[in-house]
Amino acid sequence: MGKLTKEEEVLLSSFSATSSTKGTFFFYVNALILAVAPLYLFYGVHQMELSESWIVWSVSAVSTAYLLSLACKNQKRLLKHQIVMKRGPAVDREINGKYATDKKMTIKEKEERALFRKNEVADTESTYLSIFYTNTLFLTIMLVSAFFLLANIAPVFNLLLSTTGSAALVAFLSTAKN
Amino acid sequence: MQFSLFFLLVAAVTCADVGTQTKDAFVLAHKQPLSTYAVENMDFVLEYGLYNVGDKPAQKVTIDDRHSFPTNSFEIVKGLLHVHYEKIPAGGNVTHSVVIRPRAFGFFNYTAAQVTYYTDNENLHVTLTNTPGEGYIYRQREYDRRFAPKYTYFLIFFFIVAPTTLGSFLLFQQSKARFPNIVKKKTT
Repeated sequence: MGKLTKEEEVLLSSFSATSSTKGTFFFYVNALILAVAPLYLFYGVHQMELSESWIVWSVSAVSTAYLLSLACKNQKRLLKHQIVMKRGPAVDREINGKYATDKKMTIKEKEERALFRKNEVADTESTYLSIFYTNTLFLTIMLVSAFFLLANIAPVFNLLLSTTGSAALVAFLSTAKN
Repeated sequence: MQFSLFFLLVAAVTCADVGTQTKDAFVLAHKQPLSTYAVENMDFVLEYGLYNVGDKPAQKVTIDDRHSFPTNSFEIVKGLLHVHYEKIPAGGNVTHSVVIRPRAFGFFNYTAAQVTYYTDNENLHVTLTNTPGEGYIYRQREYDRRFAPKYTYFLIFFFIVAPTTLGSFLLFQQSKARFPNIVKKKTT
């Protein structure tokens, strides 16, 4: 196998499922916020003390953050493909309009640019949408289980089941193959 | 046979009469907390009740509960832990309340108060109230957190979660609005 050229690498990366570094960073930050925020509720509403339950809290925060970032990544992979299909014509039109006057550009070059732009648009949109989708799903399941379904069991088990459990459920749902 | 049966009947009636009727003064006493929760540095109300169920007045009645609430753990806000009544008439009752304030939190064993009275100025009777038993004195902070409204916690939780969740949704909507418009133009 010969070495890939720079152009080929760009082309490959634009079709790969892995997200950009900026997107991944956003995923981790979001997952961390979502993992830590429920602990505040458990502190306030279920009367857990930092000094007594920091071990359970850190276990819950780390596992929840990991599962949520996993869920976001999986969800993004699913959404990206759909968004590329949906936005395709619009992006083509945008690129065509932009370079309509440029007569030096070949059709192939225009197509490549459109492809690149499609990938870019789909990447950002799927990042946002996957975060929104994962967050809403996680928050709904977590709040319902923590304050309705498991409201009367011991706070430690309630915390672990409702945060890590919901995150695991969300991660599981995101592994669907469409 | 008949005679012995009659004799037994008379004996039973007499005994029952002796059992149910008290010729002397007879004081029943109770002690109970009126506050549902004991909290450190917050008022705690106790009530003592004396009922003279006897047929004669009880004289020189005293309630002494100083041993139950040592002053290093409790502050007496209002009322006395050692009270004296000259006389409680037959069939009469007296209630007495004390307001105390626990100085520390934790489990506390509420013991019985001692009641003494004289019947006919010479026979001293000593009796005890019931024992409320072991109770928990809440920490002030614990009590506040338990019983204060919780909506502020949910509000703050919403503000922590909103930026990423709603922010990403808005950014998605923005991007979506930019592209489908072109599609619509194309299709029409």
